[in-house]
Amino acid sequence: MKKVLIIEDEKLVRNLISKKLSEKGFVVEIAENGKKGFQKIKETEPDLILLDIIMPEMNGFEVLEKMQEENIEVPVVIVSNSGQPVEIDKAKEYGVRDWIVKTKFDLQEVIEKTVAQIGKPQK
Amino acid sequence: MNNNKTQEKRITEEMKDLEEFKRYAQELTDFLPIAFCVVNPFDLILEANKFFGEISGYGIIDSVGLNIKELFLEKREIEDFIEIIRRTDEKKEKELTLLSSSEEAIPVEIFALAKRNEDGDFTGYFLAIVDITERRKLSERLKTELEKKEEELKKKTEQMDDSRLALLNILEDVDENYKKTKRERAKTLAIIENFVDGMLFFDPEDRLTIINPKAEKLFGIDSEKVVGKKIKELYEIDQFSELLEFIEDKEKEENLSQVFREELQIGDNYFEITTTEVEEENESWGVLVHVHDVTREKRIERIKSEFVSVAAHQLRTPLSGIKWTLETFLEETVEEKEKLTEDEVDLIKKAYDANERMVNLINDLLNVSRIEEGRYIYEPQIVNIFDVIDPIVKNYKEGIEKKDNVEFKLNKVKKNFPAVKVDTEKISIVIQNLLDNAIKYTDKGEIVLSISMKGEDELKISVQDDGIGIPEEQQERLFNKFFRAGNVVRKDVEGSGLGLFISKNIVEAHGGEMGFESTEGVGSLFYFTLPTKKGDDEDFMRNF
Repeated sequence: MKKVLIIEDEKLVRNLISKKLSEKGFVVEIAENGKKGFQKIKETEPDLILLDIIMPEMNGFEVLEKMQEENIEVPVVIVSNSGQPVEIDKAKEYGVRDWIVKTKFDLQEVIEKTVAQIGKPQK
Repeated sequence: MNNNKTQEKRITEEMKDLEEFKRYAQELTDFLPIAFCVVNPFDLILEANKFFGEISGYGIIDSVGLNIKELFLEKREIEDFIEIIRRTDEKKEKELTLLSSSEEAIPVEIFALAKRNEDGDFTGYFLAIVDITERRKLSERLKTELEKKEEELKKKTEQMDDSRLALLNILEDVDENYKKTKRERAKTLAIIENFVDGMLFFDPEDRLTIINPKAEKLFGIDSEKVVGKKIKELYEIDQFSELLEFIEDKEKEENLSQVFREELQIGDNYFEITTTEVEEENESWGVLVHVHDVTREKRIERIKSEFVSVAAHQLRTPLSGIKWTLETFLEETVEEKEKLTEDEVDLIKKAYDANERMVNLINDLLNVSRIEEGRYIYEPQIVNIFDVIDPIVKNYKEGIEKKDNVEFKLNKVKKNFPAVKVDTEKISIVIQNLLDNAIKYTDKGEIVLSISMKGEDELKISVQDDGIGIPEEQQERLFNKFFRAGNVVRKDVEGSGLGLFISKNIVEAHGGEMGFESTEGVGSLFYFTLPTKKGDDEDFMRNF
């Protein structure tokens, strides 16, 4: 069972992605901010992290920084509202796999991009 | 007898001598051009010469026996005169008026001298008369001349007085002007001193001659320490070096370059610098450096930009949730998990579209704010223009099929075009914008996207439609931010009025230009150009 961790402060977005991924057969873990998210990474050892950037407590980049510090090598896909080239370049330096601008993509496409990163869930 | 005879003969000879002398005296007196007479103590004329007779008009004979006083007009004065003669042995003279026998009044000067016998008794007097008519005339003339001269002199004096007055007035004016100039100078100085911006003035020898208090404050410098120094010397003063580095013309040594509202950061402060060459009749008076402190504006700008970013983020966050929620609804309807009526589905679709427009509007606003702050970042790559156009066209064709009566055509003049260096995403925004506008405002007809060459090194991309067009009087405002044409607003088609503003900025950042031709009710043609890749890469990139 492939495990996906969603670190996202917006409840509606978090629930929508979570619902979709669950329907697809993924195990979904959720966290409502960066700080809790980082704890969940260590606790749940997910196969993929969907990470928001602008969040309270600890933002997405701080999470990436922490992961790098502690040598946690879990694939990350950024799901954010912004998408400035500088930000994307910065994220690439952390080895981020993909950057999804929420408003540019349908939910369906988000799911497809997630699947593309870790392959179909084993049923 | 002989003695008698001799005596007689001697007397006769003496008589003869006397006669001879008398004749001589007579001739002499007659010859002298002076009227002359001898008067006895009773003022009666005893003898008169020829001229006397002539001047008095009485002749020699008739003159004798006349009372001398009767001959003069001024009776009193002649009496007084004769009285003086009686009492003195000196010759006296006086001017009087002689009345001739024909009652002519002749101006004369009379001279008189008393005669006395051996005992000193008064025996009468000699009196000479000189006609002074000519002299009088002369003196009259002289007097007139003199008066004339006096008059002239007076006039001259008056004129001189006038001139003097005029001169005084001029001097007064000069003084007034001087005071005025002084006042103006004081005013100008007061303006410079109290000017809210910093001002520095360099003379043609690049010497700092003026620094106003604001500039002293901005640079933390005392004017006394810098005024009169040359640019080279000023470089040694820390606070100045950055400014001088900024305004000095690197190519021409010791020369200030032309700078217009360029930004200079010194420490935490931001300045807008403008240099102005001050000229009067082609002669340079020096260079004025104007230093405008924009630190506060910069801070506000940053706060505003942060605000826009945060606001846009906050606005976008729920929109993505709404977008995906509506999408889920529609999907589940298709998958028949939810039983919704056709009307309900239609409503959800409309809500979805409205949400999309909202997302676009916020993106536009963000882009505008980035363009204005110079933070709109370009990531150019060398591409074939069709790499940019094809994906847009593919989507567009699908969209246009929903609209009856409108046909889309892609018109490639050639198969291959030179590569262009563009930020694909940004140029896509431009093309998408033009195509979106075309479909929005065209109810019936054709929309043609053309790609051609403009000259040898420019690509031209144009979108032509048979839409409502742009009213002529509003055309010049078309690229303004938030501008929407009158006929468009009436048609009530959604739009932010930001698309063309953003597009034009993108095109210009790529070194191209954007334009249009339009006739209201007939259609519009929008086009933009892009420089094609040619020469070395660096040169090609200079526009970014």
